[in-house]
Parts: sequence; C-alpha cells; structure tokens
Amino acid sequence: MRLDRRRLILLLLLAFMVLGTVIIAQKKSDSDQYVVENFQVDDVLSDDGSGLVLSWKPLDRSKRIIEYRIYRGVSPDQLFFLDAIPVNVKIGVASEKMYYYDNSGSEFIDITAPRKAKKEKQQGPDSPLYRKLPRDIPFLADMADKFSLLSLVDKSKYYYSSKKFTTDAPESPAADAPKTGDTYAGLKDNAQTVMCFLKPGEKYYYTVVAVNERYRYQKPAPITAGTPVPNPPEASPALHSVMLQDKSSMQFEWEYPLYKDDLAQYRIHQVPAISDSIWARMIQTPEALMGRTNVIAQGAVGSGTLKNYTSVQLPSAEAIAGFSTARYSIELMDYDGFSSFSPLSTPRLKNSSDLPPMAEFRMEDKPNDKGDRLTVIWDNPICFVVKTTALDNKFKKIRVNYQLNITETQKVKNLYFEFFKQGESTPFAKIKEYYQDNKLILKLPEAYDYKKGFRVKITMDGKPAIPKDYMLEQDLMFDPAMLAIMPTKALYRNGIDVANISNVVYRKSVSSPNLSLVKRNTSFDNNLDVTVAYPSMLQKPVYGFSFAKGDSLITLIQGAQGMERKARKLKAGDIKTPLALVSADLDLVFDKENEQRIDTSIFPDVAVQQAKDKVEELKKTVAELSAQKAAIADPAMLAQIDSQLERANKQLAAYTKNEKLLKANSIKGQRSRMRYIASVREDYSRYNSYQVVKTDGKGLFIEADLPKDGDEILYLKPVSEWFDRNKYVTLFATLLFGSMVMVFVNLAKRGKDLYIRPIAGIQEIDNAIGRATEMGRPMLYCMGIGGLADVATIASMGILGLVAKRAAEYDTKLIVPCYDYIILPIAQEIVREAHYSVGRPDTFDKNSVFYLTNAQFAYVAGVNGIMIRERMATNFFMGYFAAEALLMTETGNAVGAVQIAGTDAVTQVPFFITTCDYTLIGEELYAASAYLNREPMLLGTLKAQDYFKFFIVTVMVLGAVLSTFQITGLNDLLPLK
Amino acid sequence: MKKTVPLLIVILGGLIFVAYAFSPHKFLQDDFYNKFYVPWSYASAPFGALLGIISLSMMHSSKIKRRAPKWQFSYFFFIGFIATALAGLIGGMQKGGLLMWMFENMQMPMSATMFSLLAFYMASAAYKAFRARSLEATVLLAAAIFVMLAQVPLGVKISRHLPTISQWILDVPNLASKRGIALGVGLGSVATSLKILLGIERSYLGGGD
Repeated sequence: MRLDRRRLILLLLLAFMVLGTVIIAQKKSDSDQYVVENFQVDDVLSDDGSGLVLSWKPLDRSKRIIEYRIYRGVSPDQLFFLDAIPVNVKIGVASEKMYYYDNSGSEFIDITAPRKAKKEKQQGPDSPLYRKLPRDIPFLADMADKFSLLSLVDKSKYYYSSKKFTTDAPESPAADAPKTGDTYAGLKDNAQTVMCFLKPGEKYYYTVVAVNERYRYQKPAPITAGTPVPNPPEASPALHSVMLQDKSSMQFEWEYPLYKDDLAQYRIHQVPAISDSIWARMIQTPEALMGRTNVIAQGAVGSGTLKNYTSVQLPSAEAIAGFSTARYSIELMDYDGFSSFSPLSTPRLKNSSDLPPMAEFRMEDKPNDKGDRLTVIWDNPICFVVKTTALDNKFKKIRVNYQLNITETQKVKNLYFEFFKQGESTPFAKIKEYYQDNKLILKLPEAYDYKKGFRVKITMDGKPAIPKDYMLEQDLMFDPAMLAIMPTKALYRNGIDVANISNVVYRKSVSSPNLSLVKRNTSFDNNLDVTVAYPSMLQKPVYGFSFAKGDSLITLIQGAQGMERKARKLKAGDIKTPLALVSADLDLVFDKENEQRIDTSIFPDVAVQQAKDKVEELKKTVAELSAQKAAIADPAMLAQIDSQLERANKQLAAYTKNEKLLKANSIKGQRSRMRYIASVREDYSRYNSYQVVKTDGKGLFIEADLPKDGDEILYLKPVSEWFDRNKYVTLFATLLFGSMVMVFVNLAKRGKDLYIRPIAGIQEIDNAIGRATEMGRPMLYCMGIGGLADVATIASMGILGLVAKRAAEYDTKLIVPCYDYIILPIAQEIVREAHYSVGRPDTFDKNSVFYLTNAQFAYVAGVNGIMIRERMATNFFMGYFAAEALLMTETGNAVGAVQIAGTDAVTQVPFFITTCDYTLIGEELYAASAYLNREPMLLGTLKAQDYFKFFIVTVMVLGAVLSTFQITGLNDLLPLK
Repeated sequence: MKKTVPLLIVILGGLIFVAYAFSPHKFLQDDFYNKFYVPWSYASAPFGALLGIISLSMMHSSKIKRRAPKWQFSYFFFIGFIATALAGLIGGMQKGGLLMWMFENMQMPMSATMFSLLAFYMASAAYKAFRARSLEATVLLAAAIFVMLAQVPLGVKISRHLPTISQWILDVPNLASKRGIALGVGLGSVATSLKILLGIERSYLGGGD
C-alpha cells in the first residue's frame, strides 16, 4: 500500500482519536477514589517494644488494586513512604484483613532515596505524604532520636573512607575525665545504608494508600498513631525432662516460642508435683512462685540461638526419688526483665543406654570452592530408598529410586541392596550397584503378594573405608493411597531406628565462649555444608550526626538523655560534609593466650593513644586491686579480688604484648595500617569450631566433644583454592585439543593438503550471490539474536566478511539488519573492510548495515518487512536463532529468495531444513569461515576438531564397554558437568 | 596498532576467563568477576545502546532526506522513539506509568501477534516437510505421526503402545542426533574460543583479517 499524504493524515487522525478515547476513559475512572477501612495500629505482642502491627480491610477486587503503600512519620504532618505490599490485581486479597508488621529495620539513609524531602506522586500541597525519607542528614538528624539507628557499611568504605571526627573537649572536664573529645568515624550518606528500628515508648504515625493498576493513588486512610511497648516474652511451648537413673543426672531440652529475638536467659524451676491447672493459675501471678520453686539450672539463650538443652548432675543417688517425682518448668526471660513460664514437664525415667549413640564427627574444608564453606561430617554415607514405581500391572517388576548422601571427599564404590520377604532372613534378590544412578530395577518373586511389603538392607564399600558391619535397613510397604510400595518412616542404622534422631550442628567462634545453633539435621543426612562468608559489610550503631549550617557546625551526639545537639562557629579544618557518626573502634584480634578480644581505632594516632591510656588504666587497676587484696582477709572476697586481678593482668598482658596490636600501632600510614588490620581481623573471624549433638528432641540428647588440637579446641578456616580438582580431565582435554590445533596449524602452514569434506550449504554460497547479481535484487544477511559472546555470532561474522566481499565484487546490495547494538559497529566494519579489500569503497553504504531492534518479534516484523519491500533474491541466516527463525525463513520462502541458513540452536535446525534451500547444522556453521577462506590456520583448527571428535567417540565407546564389565573408573574420572 | 591492541585485550581477557573457569579462588570468582567484570559490563552497555540509536536514526534520516521508497514510514520510527523515550524519562518505568502502559498495551500485543503467526507458519512448514517424496521424508512423516498422535488422547485410544513408541523416538533416535549436534557444537565452541585466544580468529575485530 502506498503511503501518500492523504492516507498519512487519516492514519494520524485515527491514532489521535484512539489515544484521546483512552485518556478520557482513564480520567473518568480515575475520578473515583477509595479509602481502606478499619485501619488500626497496634503494639506487637510478646516483643521487646520495637514493633507495631498495622491492619486494615483491603479494598474489593473490583477496585483493581495493585499495591498498598505504607507511610510512617514521627509527626502527623509528614509521613514518608515505608513499604509497599504488592497485590495480584486479578485475584485481589482473599482475607478480611491485611497486616503489616513494622518490627524489623527499615531504611533511614539509603542511596536510592531522594536528596531532599519530596512529595509523593499525585499529592496536593496539603498532603502529608512524602516519598522515602530523604538522603539529607541535617533533615534526618532532627528525627534520629525517635529511632535506634544501625549503619550497614561496606568494609572498604569504613576502612578507607571514614572521616575522623572529634568532638570538642568538655569545657570544664572532671578530674578523671579525658581532656580531649571523643573520636568517631564519620560516614557520608552515600557510603552506607542506615537502618532504623522503632524505639519503645515513642509515638509513630501511619497511613496506608491503595494504588490501582493504572498507578492512581487512592485517598490515604486516616492517620493513626501507635506506640510500641515491651511485653513479656511468649512462654516456651514445651520443656522436656529426662532422668538418667544410672548416671544420677537430669537432662532438659526445651522448645523456643516463635518470636525469640529478645530472649536473654532461661531458668529451670523444680516444682512440687502439682497439677497443670494449679500451675496455670500460679504463673498468672509470678510473685506467688517466690520460694515455692527451686531453680536447678540457668543460663543464657542469646535470642534463641544458643543451646536449647542442659543437664543437671543430681547431688546424690538418693536424690533420684525426689527429682523423679517433681515437675519442671522453664522460665524464659527477655532483655527487659520480663519472663514467662512453660507448662510443667514430668521427667521420663531412662538410662544412659537409651541415649542415641554419640556422633563421631569431623570437620573439613570443602574442596574446590572459593574458601567460604566447611563441611561437618558425622556419619558414613547414608543411602535410603525414596520411592518405588511398578513397571507392570502385577507388580512383578518395580523401579526402586534411592538416594545416596555423601560428601565430596567420600566415595562409594559399590552399593549392595538385599531384599527380604517379610519375616525371612534369606534375601530373594541381591543387587550390586556399581554405577550409582539413583535407581535400580527389582524383580519380585513369582506368586509373592506384594501387598505384604518387604525389607531392604543396604551395605556399601568405598573410601574412606566404610566398616563392613555398617548397614542401613528400611521396610517397604504397600501404600493403598499411592498404589505403590513405599518406604516407611523408619530408617534402621545398624539395627537402631534413627528416623527420629536429629543431628544438631553448633558453631563456636574463637572469640565467643558460647556455641550457637547452625542447623538441625535429620538422620537421613550425614553432613552439613556450613557457609563461612568473607566479611564484606560492617554493622555499626550510629551515635550521632554532624553537619554545617550557615557558619555553624552542628553536632548531635547520643547521650544519656537522647541526642544532644550542640552548635558552634565553624573553624578551619572542620568537616562541613554531613556525616553519620559511628564508633571508630573495631576488633583487631582475639588474644587466645590471654582470652581477650583486642579492639583498636581505625585512626592511627587515636589507636596509639588509646592503647597507651588502656595500659595506664589497667596498670592502675592492677595496683588498686593488689592493694585491696593485701588489706582483705575474707576468703570469699579474696577469691573475687583474685579473679578480678587475674582478668586485669590478662588484659594488661594482651594490650602490652600482643604482637598484632604492637605491629598495627607501629604502622604510621592510615591505608597500610588498615590493610594490615583488615588482614588480621578478617582472618581470625573466619575460624570456627563445630559440635554435633544427637537428640530425639525430647530430652534424650548426647553431645560430642569439641574437636581438639592437643589440649586446645581445634578451629578451622575454609581455604580458597586456586584450582578446581574436578577439572583435571577438562584441563587435560583442553590442553590436548590445543596441542592438536597447534600441530595441524603447523602442518597446514607447511603446505600439507588437509582434506575437508564438501559442505553443500557453503559451496552454494557463491551461487546464491550470483543469483542475486543476475536478478539485480539485494541480499539479506541476518546474524540472529545472539550477542557477541555467542560462538555462533562470531562464526557468522567470519562468513559475513566473505559474503560481503563477493557482494562488493559483483556490486550487489547487501542488507544487514542487526539485533544487537554491540554487533552493529563490528558488522559495519566487516562490510566496509570487504568493500575496501576488493577496491570498491564507493559502493559501501553504511546505512545498509544498521541496528533494527533487540525486541525479538519486533525484529522479525522488521526483517520480514525488509524482505517483502526489497524483494530479496538471497537470504543468509547465520547465527543463533530462536522462535523467530521460522517466521523469517517462511517469509523468505514466500518472496522466492534462495535461502542458506546455519545455526547451532538445535531446536531451530528442523525449521531451517524445512524452509531453507541449504542448512549448515551446528559445527558446519563454525567450519564455514575456514572452508571458504582456505586459510591454513583455520583449516588446521578444523582438522584438529575432527580428530578430537574421533578421540571423544573412542572414549565414549571405551567407557560403554568398560561399564558393561562393571569397570567404572573411566566414568568416574570424567566430570559430570 | 589498530588491531593489535584490541587483540591483546581480547587475548588477555580470554586467558583471565580460562583461569576463571578452572579456578574457584576468591580473587577470580569474587574480586574479578563480581566486583570488577559484572559492574563494568553493566556500565558499558548503555554506550552500546547509544551506538544502536545513532545508527538507526542515521539510517532513517537519510531515508527521509533521499526520499527513498516508503520514506514516510521513517517518521514513525522518530515518533515512536521520541514518544517512548519521553514516556520513560518523564513518567518513569514503574507499573502504571505511560511507558509500561505502552509496553503492555502496544508492544506486548504486537509481539504476541507476531508470535501467534508461528502456529500457521509451522503448519505450512510441516506440510512441506511431511510430504513423502523420499525414503527419509517418509521416515520423518511416520515419526511425526507417532509423536503427534501420542500427545493427544486419541493416540492412546488408537493404541496404548503409542506413547511408549513416541517416547522411544524422542529418547533414542531424536536424542542421539541432538547429542551428536551438541557434541559438534560444543567442540566447535571450544575450537572457536581457542582460535580467538590464539589470535587466529579475528573477525570480531571488524574487517577480514
């Protein structure tokens, strides 16, 4: 269709009418505004007073809401965007109420926030709604007191970009107070993310706004205030108690409530044998418990991350009767001093023989990784049946799927499966799995009723040596619901059902006396990969802010009464840039000898002075304590002073003798000092030790000893490895192939005639170009939708150069529409070079090689349009193609063009074969450039490729033959991926 | 110099990536790849896009200048380009904005239209492919009939063995040939990479050699 002026005007008119109708329709529907109802702000129960919960009735699905946006402020006239809850516009919200918990940190200073406070979109001048809290420290400093602030800063930024900020010295300092101000590390707003947490007792204002699918903001809900308050923690759901009669000890294991972040301590109370109802009444008034319970154990729970069990040695064997008839409850206390009691537990009477077997575990570095993982291994390889599938109607033949859990360092050579009929001790089938593909075929005996089920016994051999008597057993029973024979829940390891036993892994860092939970594992696992990440971020509480305003320097520093604001005239050398102030101290190392963590400042002069002051202070303390000791006679007091003296002496020794600290403080340059500090602290912080505890979860637990190196606890750090040992074979193959290429390239260079089989598609390229020349019509060269990283695209470039040369020689127009903008300049250069090389620079038209689009189907539309308009004589499709391949080649077919295609996309090959005259399949595309060029270097590569393919086929055949004879060494040698 | 420096950069980059493939070390996996290579590749992408935009603008403006056949269509490129750019720059890219509206209500339906044509093109291609003109084409036709019938309930009604036969065709001869091609492709990729590393393949630098 010709596009004359009249038609163009008509077309534009039509477009404007459609656009106008759409805009009017949208405006009309946008005039209706909806407000969410029943908006409430309540305190979160059982928390530490840092959480509020928002609730509201969601709007009806017909309102087409896509998200609810939540705004928060410290005053009702300025509310900032806090978060958005996306909603599926088609489904809506099914529940009657929506909830949002504001009890975790939200961004206070964030790089994505606007520079200045900015009104929310579509809001009038009176609206209190603003976008995110602005990245404006002077503005934020005023509301900083309402939140607890925590800076998350990249370690490099903290080490090397922190500004030294020292507060002014007190005007009239006390006699023992320092004569200088405090030093902080000042961080710019773009160097960190500051998170804010609600503070107990502060008032916060909220609203919620619904946004519809056209992104129209609805009216905000009425602004509602809320104040978080600390509450007593939730009680432990259960305490499990066990009395080990032969050991005269009691074991306790408890469960934590859902919210456990503010739990600090536990106490186990022994209660006389009272009923549950009486206990329930008693714990309503905890004062009534005073003197009526006996605390038999207590300790830290560290927000529910520490051990959830303890044992108590009974004072004497006679005490067993009293302890076994008593009842027990656990009291969980939070950091605010609130506490709650669990229901009463009656001890189970057991002996140590009922305990699970102690875990024999080891820890090792995970091989072939970047050094951020360790493996804790507590068992031999575990193999178990997962499911079975009947392969015929009569269950005569079934496929058994099994799973083998091993570590990278454990190798299982053979698995032996023995299947027994119920009640029989002679197996009806024995299967040796020398190649573990996680499935095997089992033939059931004739006339055996499969519904009776059977038993499977699994043994194995491998490396490191697996004990001969190590066996795993399972019962396989018919499941009528699944209509299949399935394993029961039990897993017998050496005859003991371990299905209910958990293997709990705990971690201990060098600097902490406590062990913290890593993961609870089932007995179907025999190892756990523990991630020991490289430190990348630091968390630092924000103690204040500083910024210049006019000619004044304003500082806000956290004091006993909140943020204390001070202002003074700016002086030379003052930092005017707004800064968030965090502690300039960080841990340097843990002195094992003196059991002391040593901190230092990131600023060299401050660090040296700090160390000096600390030593002076400790010396003074030691002297004072020694004097006190000489004057005291009471043994209890003496013991206390001795302990304090020992602690002070250790600290003194650490700060005067620790080599790392001495070296750090001897380095003058800030950067080189920080580099040293980073290398020391990041190294020691990655050392950990582990412990495995086996437990039934109900008080029957046994913990393994911490691994030891002599008398000391063994700590391990993952190691970053330079070579992945799984890739030896790949490296060998690459080197072999590289050598073959070199040999054949040299042979070709010396003039040896290398035979390359004829490839029809390539031979026809010249004819196809000739046809276009004869017809006087252009040619199209399409490089597909691959990028420069695709080998097919690179191969295509080689062919483009040769096609462009012929086209330039014959003066035939070549059109190259590019999909990738990175490819475009290269393609232009290739075609330009081709024209120059045949002495026809005048015929080169830069606009015939152009970028079309990188939208897949828009590209198809564009290429098809060009094909039809220009009536192509020849089309080349060389490169990587996807769904667009057939659309283009069919159109080319319709316009009667000769088409030659080449791709390595296996899924598109059939379409090309069907619709194109010639197709280069897979590697033929890569070979085309060499084939056409006849360049020795390229031909040599091609020849090496062929020989290497022969080598691969030989290995494949050999592998198949060896595997048939149960020799799997070659298979195991080759990498799986 | 024009080719030597880029060639050296490519060879050096290639060698680093060879090391990256074989070494799990933190220096290569984190410090080089995640912290250096990925951010730089993101940062350089917009400059590539700019090249594309300039190329397309030049081509269409020269078409309009030369009054080339159907030059009026080139105005649509400029209208579309400016309208889309303004919609994104002014209204933002978020859902509900004009840009996303244009994407969802214009580009998506048009792309879907193009994609839906595939079904008809497939039918036409299938007609061409399945004509039993030779022994190979007859085998192809038979295999296609088995596989297609096995996909529909009618196939099972005809014979309960049909799905098994279909699966066998897919798993054995089809997979064997696919793996053959994949093997060649894999080896060809390695060879091409090696050619680039050794400086034998230089087409990506533009020009013949």
